[in-house]
Amino acid sequence: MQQSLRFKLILVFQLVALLPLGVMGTLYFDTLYKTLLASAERELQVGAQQTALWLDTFFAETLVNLRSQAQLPDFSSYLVRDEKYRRLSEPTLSILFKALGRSSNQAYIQSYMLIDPNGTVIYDQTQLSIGQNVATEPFFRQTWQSGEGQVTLTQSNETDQRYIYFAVPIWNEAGYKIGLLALRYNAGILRLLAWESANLAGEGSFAILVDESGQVLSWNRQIIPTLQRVELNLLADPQGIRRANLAGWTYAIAHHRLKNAPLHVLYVQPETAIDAYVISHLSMVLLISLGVLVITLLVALIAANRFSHPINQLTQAARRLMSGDLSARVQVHTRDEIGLLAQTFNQMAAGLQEEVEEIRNAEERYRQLSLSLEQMVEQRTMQLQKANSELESFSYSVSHDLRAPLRAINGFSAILQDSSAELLDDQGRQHLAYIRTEAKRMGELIDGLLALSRVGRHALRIQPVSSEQIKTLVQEIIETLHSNEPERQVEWRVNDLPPCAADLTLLRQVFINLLNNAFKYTRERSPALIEIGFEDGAYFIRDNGAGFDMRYADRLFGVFQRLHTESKYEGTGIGLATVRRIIERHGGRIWAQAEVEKGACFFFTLPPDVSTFEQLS
Amino acid sequence: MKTFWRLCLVVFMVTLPLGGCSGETNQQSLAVSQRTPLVIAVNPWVGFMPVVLAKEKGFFDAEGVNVQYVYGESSRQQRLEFEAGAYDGIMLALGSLIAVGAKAPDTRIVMLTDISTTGDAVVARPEIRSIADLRGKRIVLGAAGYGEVVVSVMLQQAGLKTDDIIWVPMQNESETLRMLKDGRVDAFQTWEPFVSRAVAEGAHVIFTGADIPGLIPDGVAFHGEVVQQRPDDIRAFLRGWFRGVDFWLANPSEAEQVISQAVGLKPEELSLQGLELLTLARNKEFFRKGEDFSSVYYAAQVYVDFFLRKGVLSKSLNLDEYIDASFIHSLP
Repeated sequence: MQQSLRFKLILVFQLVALLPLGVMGTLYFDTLYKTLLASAERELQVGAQQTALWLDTFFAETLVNLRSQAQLPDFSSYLVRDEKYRRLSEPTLSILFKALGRSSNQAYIQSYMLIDPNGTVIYDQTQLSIGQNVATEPFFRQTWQSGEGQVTLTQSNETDQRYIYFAVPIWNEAGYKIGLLALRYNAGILRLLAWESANLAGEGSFAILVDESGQVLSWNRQIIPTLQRVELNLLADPQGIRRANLAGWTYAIAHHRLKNAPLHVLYVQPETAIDAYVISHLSMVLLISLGVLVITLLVALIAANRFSHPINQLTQAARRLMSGDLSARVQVHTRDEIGLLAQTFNQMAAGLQEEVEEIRNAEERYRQLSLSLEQMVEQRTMQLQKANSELESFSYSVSHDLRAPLRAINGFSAILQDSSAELLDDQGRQHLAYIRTEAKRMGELIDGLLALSRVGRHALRIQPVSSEQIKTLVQEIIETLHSNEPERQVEWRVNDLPPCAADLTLLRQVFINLLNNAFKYTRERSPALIEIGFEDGAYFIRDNGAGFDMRYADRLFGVFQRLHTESKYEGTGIGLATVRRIIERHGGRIWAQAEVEKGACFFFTLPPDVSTFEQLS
Repeated sequence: MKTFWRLCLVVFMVTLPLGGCSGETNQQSLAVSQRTPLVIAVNPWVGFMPVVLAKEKGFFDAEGVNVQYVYGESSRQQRLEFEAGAYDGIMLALGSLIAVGAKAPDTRIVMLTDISTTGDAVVARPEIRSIADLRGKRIVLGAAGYGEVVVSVMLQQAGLKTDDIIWVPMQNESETLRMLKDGRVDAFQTWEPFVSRAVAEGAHVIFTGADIPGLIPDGVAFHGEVVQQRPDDIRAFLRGWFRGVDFWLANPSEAEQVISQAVGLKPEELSLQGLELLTLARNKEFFRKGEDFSSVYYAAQVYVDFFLRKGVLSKSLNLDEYIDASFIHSLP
């Protein structure tokens, strides 16, 4: 989450910085490109103009100088002098021309010449053309006809050597043309002048000098090895940047026509150099953009960190809180929304901590309490168990120990009745009989108590008991009961009894006690009806005997608790307590339903198999 | 759409140097013949022929420089073309190399090829018996070149002034030889092999460089641009050159044959009699400051002073820059 927030912040910063830049760039790129291109082309134009200016200046200056030199009297006097005497003036002319030629251009000056009106060369510094007639040469014709100084370019027929002729008329004092002063330059001077203007418009730019016929006089041999002619359309006005192929490369070409000579300057630059110029400037713009990008990236990073740091802190604190460290707090002290959030978070955490601590304290108190309660219960239970077992062993030992004196009372009272009854009066005999009855009853009571305590002490031997076994067991008990009172009319209904898991001895005891009760309390019924069966998960023994009042049902299963008088129905009040004890030890339940004088029904449950018993216990 | 591609191109050009792979080709990795040639103008002067020898013997290739010499009979034309940037370097007499400074002040003299003795001479028609006979005669010599100094010194020795003769500016050597033969001019200041050719046609020598010892050294100069941008090429050129010189001095006949075959000079025109070819050791001696002609600085100053006086140079040359001794002294 913190990553994406930082990323978003950076993205937003970049967008904010780059969107205007991008929009500007897109909008103005074309304009910028065209401006740069135009600037490069303007430089090219300037190069052409500058070169042309230098050349024109050279031509003009040389012509002006020559015009003033032509006014020297030595030349006019030499021209009009008789041929025979000219030789005498030669040393003077030689010195004169040597002096006139002295300049930094001297190496390029080929010769000074004097030419008479017929076109015959009468003086040539180099001696080469003396006596030759140049009347048909353009430089002579044009100068002579116009009467003005002329610049003419020629090319030697034998060699490809080019010359520049500067020629001015020589006037006599009367104002007649008496001849020409001509100055022959090596055309190499143009190359030199053009060479000096190289790189005016940047790397790789240079001037090409072309005459009217498209013949190239000068170019840059270093860049273009050979270049003899250019297309004539390059020399056509109007001026403007053209693009043309020269010796295999595309050049941008600015054209400028010379004023003082029939020459053209083509100022050229390889298109790649112009591209490089444009690209270098555009690159600068791009680099600046990159710089802005980098700076905004840095700013965005810093800002993103500054913004995301408190949020990170909050997140971490929240995580700590989540993992249970309620002491987690945020150290953010900015005065913005995040600061407020942090403050609120801290308050929340503090509140949470308080409440949770309260809950914990309460829990602790509750735990302590429940612990002491448990201990108390355990203690009580132990005390109870101890008391119970003490009681049981007490009642056992009492019952057992009481039997010996009881046997004595019973035995001696029997001997007394048998042997000495006639010695007693009726009241005495009556008392004796009473003693014997009560002793017998006491014996029964003791037997009952012993049985009850046996049930408590008896180690259970749980085994599966089949339906047949139960039925057999019931039949045996019924037969025993019948044999005791054969005169009684009792209808026994023994239904199907499902199997169960039980201690067989104790199960027999249960059926003995319950059937005994049923048999006993139906004594006044004729016929008596006793039903044994199984219903809704419980065994039952139902009779149509005396029944009892359901209000006293809770007392039914207590020890020595009786609902009927001893005189009416004999019994010790221990039987049902014993049954309940047995059923409960088996994990079962016992209860009864009854109505006075209509009958009673005892229900009890037993575990259907051994595993159920084990679960219950 | 065009704009888009331009933008792509710009991005490409900008990222190219960032990627660290510049498109610059490495000269060193190219075969010698494919490297940018070092173009040097050479006239037939014997003292310049070691360049032919070294080239033919492959010494330059061995040193890793693609030397291309341009052989031409007109030293004057070569000089003008050099000034207009047609060549990287040129071989001329020291005086002419100084005069070049009038139009191309950014020139650097890096080596002396030789000291001319009888190889430089003034030849005259038979009727000119002595230097004194030249008074009022037509004598051909190159304008704004070392010849002016030579002739000036010669005339001084005979008690003449330069204005005592008729100066005929030299156009080209073979034309001048013709004019000398048919008497249109009387004398010619020139050098071998033209001296021998003039003598063969009836002229005779009236003055030689031996009369003014040390005044006529010859040398090699390059444009300052070349010196700056290709110092390794120039060093390699000098190493190859001196191997040529050493080879020539050790095997003169083989050297003459090789040169003769290459440029068509006759073997007898290649005699080393009229000059001293300068070895590297001798060059090191000359490229020291000194107060006589055993120092190139001294000799050069003589020419500078002369051309300043005559208006050929409009301003003085800074010889500490114009003469670049660093190459000679950097060679072992």
